[in-house]
Amino acid sequence: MPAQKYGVTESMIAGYGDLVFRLSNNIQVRRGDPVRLKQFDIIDRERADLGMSDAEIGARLGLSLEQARTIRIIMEHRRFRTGHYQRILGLGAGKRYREERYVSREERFALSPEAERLREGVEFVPAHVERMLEQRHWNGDTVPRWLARFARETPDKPAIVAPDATLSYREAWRRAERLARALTALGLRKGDVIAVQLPNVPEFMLAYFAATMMGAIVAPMHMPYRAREMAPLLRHARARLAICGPPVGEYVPVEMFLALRNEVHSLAHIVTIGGPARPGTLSLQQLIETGPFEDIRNPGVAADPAILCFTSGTSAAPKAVVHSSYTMLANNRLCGPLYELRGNDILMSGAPFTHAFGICIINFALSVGATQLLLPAFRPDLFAQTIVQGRPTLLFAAPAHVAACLKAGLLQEADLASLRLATISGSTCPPQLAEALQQRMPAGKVMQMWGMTELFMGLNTRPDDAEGVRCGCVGRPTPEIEVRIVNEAGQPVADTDSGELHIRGPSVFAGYYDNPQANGVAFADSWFCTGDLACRDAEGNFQITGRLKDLINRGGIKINPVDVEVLIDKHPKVLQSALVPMRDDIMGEKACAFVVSREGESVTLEEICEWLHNNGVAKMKWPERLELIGEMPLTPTRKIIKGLLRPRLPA
Amino acid sequence: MKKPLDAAAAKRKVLDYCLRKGALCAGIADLEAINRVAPAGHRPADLMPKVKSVVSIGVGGNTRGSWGVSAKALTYFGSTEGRAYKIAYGLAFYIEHTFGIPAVYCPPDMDSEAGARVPFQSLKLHAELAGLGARSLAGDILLHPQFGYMYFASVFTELTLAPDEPLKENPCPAPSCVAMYREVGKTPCMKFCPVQCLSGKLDEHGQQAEMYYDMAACAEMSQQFEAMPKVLAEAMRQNDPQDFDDMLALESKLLFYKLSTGSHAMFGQCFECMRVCPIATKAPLADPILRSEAARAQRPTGAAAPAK
Repeated sequence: MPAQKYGVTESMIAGYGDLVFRLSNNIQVRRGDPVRLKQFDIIDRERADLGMSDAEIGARLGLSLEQARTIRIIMEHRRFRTGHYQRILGLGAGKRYREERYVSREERFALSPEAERLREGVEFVPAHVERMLEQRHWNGDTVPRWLARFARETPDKPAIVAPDATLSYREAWRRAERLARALTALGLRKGDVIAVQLPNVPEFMLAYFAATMMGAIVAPMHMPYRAREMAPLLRHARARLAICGPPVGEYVPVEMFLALRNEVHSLAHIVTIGGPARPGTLSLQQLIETGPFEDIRNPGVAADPAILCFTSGTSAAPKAVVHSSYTMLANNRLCGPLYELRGNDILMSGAPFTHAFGICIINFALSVGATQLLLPAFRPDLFAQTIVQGRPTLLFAAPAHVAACLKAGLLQEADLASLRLATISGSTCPPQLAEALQQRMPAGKVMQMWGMTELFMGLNTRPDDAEGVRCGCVGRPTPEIEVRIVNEAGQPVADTDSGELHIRGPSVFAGYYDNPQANGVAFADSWFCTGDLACRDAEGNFQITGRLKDLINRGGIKINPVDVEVLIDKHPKVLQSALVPMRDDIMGEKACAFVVSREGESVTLEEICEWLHNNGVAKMKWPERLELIGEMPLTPTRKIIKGLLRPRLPA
Repeated sequence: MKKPLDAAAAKRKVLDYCLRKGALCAGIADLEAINRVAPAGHRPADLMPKVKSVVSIGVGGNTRGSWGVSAKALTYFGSTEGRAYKIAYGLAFYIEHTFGIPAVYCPPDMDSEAGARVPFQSLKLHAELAGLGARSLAGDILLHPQFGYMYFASVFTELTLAPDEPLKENPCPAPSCVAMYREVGKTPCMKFCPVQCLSGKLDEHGQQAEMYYDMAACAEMSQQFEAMPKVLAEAMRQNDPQDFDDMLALESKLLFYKLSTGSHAMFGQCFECMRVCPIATKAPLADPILRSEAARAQRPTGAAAPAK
């Protein structure tokens, strides 16, 4: 600004600036109505307040016109604010601006550093994003969008049926929205992580719905987890709020979470269900009914992270899978037709909602406005009772669920006529188990599905497959999911050969959150290396033959433990078995069998080896040590945790 | 021999022309009063040395329905002033053609070098003195009890026309606004202004005691042009190319640019004060149906006669 050439110095601006600004039209004050009333004396007296031209200002202050103008323009530039237009951008038709409610765009859309970091968990290579969107495998669908749709279209239809409560779609929406607003009022924002340790109860679903409404991320925590398992996960997720249930036996979740706040510094709030809140915690029910209320300024969208599930990993580097609504809901849309999913279906999940499998079933029901029948926690008698009383049309269960019920004789007499489809998934299912269930379902069909937290449902049998296929394998890829089977060198193998299953497609995750080491080995080009071993038959149906990391390397010969376990499990004295590698100075590794024998029975290594010999198993695959145990360590989805067996072996 | 000019008939012809061409109302401003109020350099004689009369023309603003659109859309709605300019342009020719006396269409623009948003000629001042509206609490925007919120244009002529009087009463604040002020200390225009540029006081009779208008705050939202060079200057000062891009941020500042540079006509405004104004939105003849020929035939020509 060439101020000096008009004789304007910085000290003049400091001295005259505010006054010049105020005398100009920038600030106008009018008293009475002097122009309309032609009160010229008042006009002359108050001209300075009414607003003056530069010439008038100059004359009044003893400045030249140029000096007055220069000072005014400099002051206007210094004081001019350029963000005001943003205040009207969000004002919809019929809405009025309200100063007390205004939140600037910067504040409204700001993400915390933690939330920004979490977004990296859903960042794909641009070409993949473009392809998925162009092919419409990814779209704007979100959990709240689906919920809102059916709250509008079928408001009175049951969305959630629990043993002690039924919530219609309207009510589920109302409560979830109220909770989302209350959580927003607590200061939670898009990108914040909400850890949820609850059984399959309505509150889990409401928390999940509310979180996705406000763009927060649900991190489910398995029910058996305690402080030791939970702390590294909460830290890794940088959880800001935890929702937990009432005491279970000696375990008092709220006490654990309160104590964890000392080591998980991000954890600002603890919300409980079932009873009044303890000091330092909040009641979920109260938040829904009487909690604070704030507009959801930055609601979740499909591209946002929606859930964060832990798979395995170590305490120092947990493997956390982040899914956006893109990847998560694409899977439901693609699988819906396979299951002939309809709005009048009633879905029941044996899998806990704290697992991706369970969340997948929530979404599945929501995708068509069906009803979710809740089994709060697995117990064989309750499982059978819920089927009989709740009359689900679709059942999703793990092999262990079915096995436990069959073993207890609960399904033999139960009326399973309501079941249209029963899908077994979660771990390898022995064909005879699926067949046994099929025999109890004259009106329905048993199917098998293979999936992972990293990609949800990846392989499925189809309802119109022959029974042998439905009970004997995990079927074919979900539409739009690509699979390949490769050997150790990464080369595709012949159809009947076993190799590692690689997979890619719309529902495959982007990578483990904040775990570059895991990501370094999890992907080969654009393929996700599942770590599962599989083979494919001539019809294109897949068998899962084991886990890559579970292979036993006996002197260079790879033994797939599943081949052996299936046979040992058929031994009349054996209830369940697991083969794990044990260190050997000569062979490198040998097989050790961990066995749970049937009640009142005991089995020896010799008996097992003889059994395997009689079943034509090569001697090199026989276990060379036997450990009898009372109970198998199982995941919440009833998979054997071999990692907990290995430490039991002598060093 | 040339027939002597009938001043009353001439005025009637001039005002009839305006109404026929779509003006809601028209009137003659008191030239002497203009000269007493307008600063030197911005008086009619500064534009037309032998000016004898100032004709002010008012055209309608928004329909009642359009006041209900989203705030963003409303910024694109309001610019009907072009119709007023068109009538004024025609009127200047009409006067010259009919009476053989010079006339000039008054430029509606700002004289940027003269001060902060100082116009060449104040169309508002002309309209107010011609009885086409009275100053409101909404930053002195003129309001008319029957026509509500209007846009104005002016024509100067050497033809002598008898001036009209300003409105006898100021319709602002409306009774509902007074009631609200008594409750919360603000009228609707004050409360709902997005930049909170308005404040003021009412007296014990519910009349305007003081109007305060922070035009600088309003400027970005209203018809001003300073914002553009301001933003460009700020952008130029950024050292980081990313900051430079952010400052210009086309994807998020299109509305800002539109507001700052004006719409297809001359001005862009947010209009939020007007859309909450009961006079602007509910004035009887602001309703387009009531602006029909039949309705207009009922009222005499001249400056807002029914209210006088």
